[in-house]
Amino acid sequence: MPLSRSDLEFRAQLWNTATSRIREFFCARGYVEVVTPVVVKSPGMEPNLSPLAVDVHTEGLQAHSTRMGLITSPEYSMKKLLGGGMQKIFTLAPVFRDREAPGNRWSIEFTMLEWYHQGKDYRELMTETGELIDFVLNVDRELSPIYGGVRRGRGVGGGGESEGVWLRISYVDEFEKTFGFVPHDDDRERLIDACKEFNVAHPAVDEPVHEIIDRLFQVIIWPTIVTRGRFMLCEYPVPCASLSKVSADGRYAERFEAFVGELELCNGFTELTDAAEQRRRFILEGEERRLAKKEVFPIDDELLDRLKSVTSPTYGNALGVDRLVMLLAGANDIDSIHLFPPSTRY
Amino acid sequence: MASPNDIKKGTVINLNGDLWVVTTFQRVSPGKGSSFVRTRIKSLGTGKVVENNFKSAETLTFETVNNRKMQFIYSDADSITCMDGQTFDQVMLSKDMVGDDMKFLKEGLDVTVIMHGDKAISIELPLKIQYTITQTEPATKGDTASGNVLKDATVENGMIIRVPIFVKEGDNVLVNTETGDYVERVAR
Repeated sequence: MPLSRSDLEFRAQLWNTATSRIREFFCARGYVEVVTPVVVKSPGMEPNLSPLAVDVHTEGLQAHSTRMGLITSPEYSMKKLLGGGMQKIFTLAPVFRDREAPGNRWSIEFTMLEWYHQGKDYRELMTETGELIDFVLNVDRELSPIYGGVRRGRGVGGGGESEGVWLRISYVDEFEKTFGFVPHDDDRERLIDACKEFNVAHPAVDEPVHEIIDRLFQVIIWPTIVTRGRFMLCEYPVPCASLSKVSADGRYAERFEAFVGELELCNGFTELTDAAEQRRRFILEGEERRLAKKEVFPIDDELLDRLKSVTSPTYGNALGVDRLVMLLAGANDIDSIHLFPPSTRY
Repeated sequence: MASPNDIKKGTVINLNGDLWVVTTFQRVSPGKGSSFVRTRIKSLGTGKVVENNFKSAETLTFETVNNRKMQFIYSDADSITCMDGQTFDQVMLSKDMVGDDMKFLKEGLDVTVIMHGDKAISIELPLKIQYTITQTEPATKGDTASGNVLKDATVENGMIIRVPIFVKEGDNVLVNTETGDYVERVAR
């Protein structure tokens, strides 16, 4: 049954509110909005993601077809613009992720907000991210629907004291407190021992180190921090660095994620700007993809070339706009905020 | 062999010979990192409840269960009673096993009772249930501008939900039972 006009207008209004406030926020801070391509030759190397592959055909004398993919994030294009000298940029991009389990927070296609600022590191990014989310959700103790959503009742933190404050929780500190060490790439044995000691399902022999760390974290640590309302989880173990820079002392990766209750909103980094290290990680990720029998797209050489001109530090953040709209709507289900609900389309 | 992605409320998982019924589940697809299913499972033997995560790539063994279409009739201090409309068979189920779904129940509601052998172990609600709004404040001008797009509303069984400000008393609305979200207003 089609949605009623009131419901359609309500949902459209939610998106209008969110995107116009996002644009207002960044324009007021001197960011420039950019448009990046959706169909690209190197849609992403991230081992856990499956880009939607497409064959693109050119007609005419030089007729040929090119294997391409739909972006899983506008990250590579954004970094090329940084390499070209742009200093503060943001984009609202459609992104696509195939082979995901259906769920009430997930759709194959969704909207990603990404923004980058050269010369700043992720600590400043955390502050800015909190300000952005509060601005979009217009946090008001009595009125904001955010409190009717993920966590019912008045304060997100339960008592109301944590409203307006984003707690910062260090991943490596929590890990060290619980397991007695800060994990690195060569700690496979210690991690497997920790799994045994804490009775966490024993990982497969070839499971990558970052996956074992994630298991321990999700089962043992996560339940103790998820109750803290809204928080930013930062200082990730080095094997979980993804595309972030490792701290000067080598203890952690300069990466964070913002959560409201259980809902993950974004991944922000002090970006890795070392092209040689980036190439090394792409090769490792490509190998992981091959082992998992996933399509391996070519390494984006243009990106690696442009990366050399990006200043260090530079921060970047990728935020799921659908989830922000869910918070705005007080919705727990992604279907509730879309004019074309994802669960009815695939 | 089954995939963790097939887990639902009421699924019975065989873990090393012990049977566990899923009481709540949430699929998690992180922005970075591999997807998994976060569950709370209850032992059919000891009644112990534990949290467990299953990576989407794992394989699991599910036990066979039977689904019976029944109607919810009433609840007392610690249990609820459902009835088969054809045979008038009644089954009882502890409120523990119904969990958070208790708040959605209303007399005469069609539910699926999940049976393991002759024991009722869980119920499954329709994904969307229709309720009538019995009480809600009228919208005031400027609500949307101040970001106040939702308001509280009470429905006929006493449950309080969040609805858009255009919803009025007497309206029929659909509620998603997995999330508790208002879905849409139903034409009268």
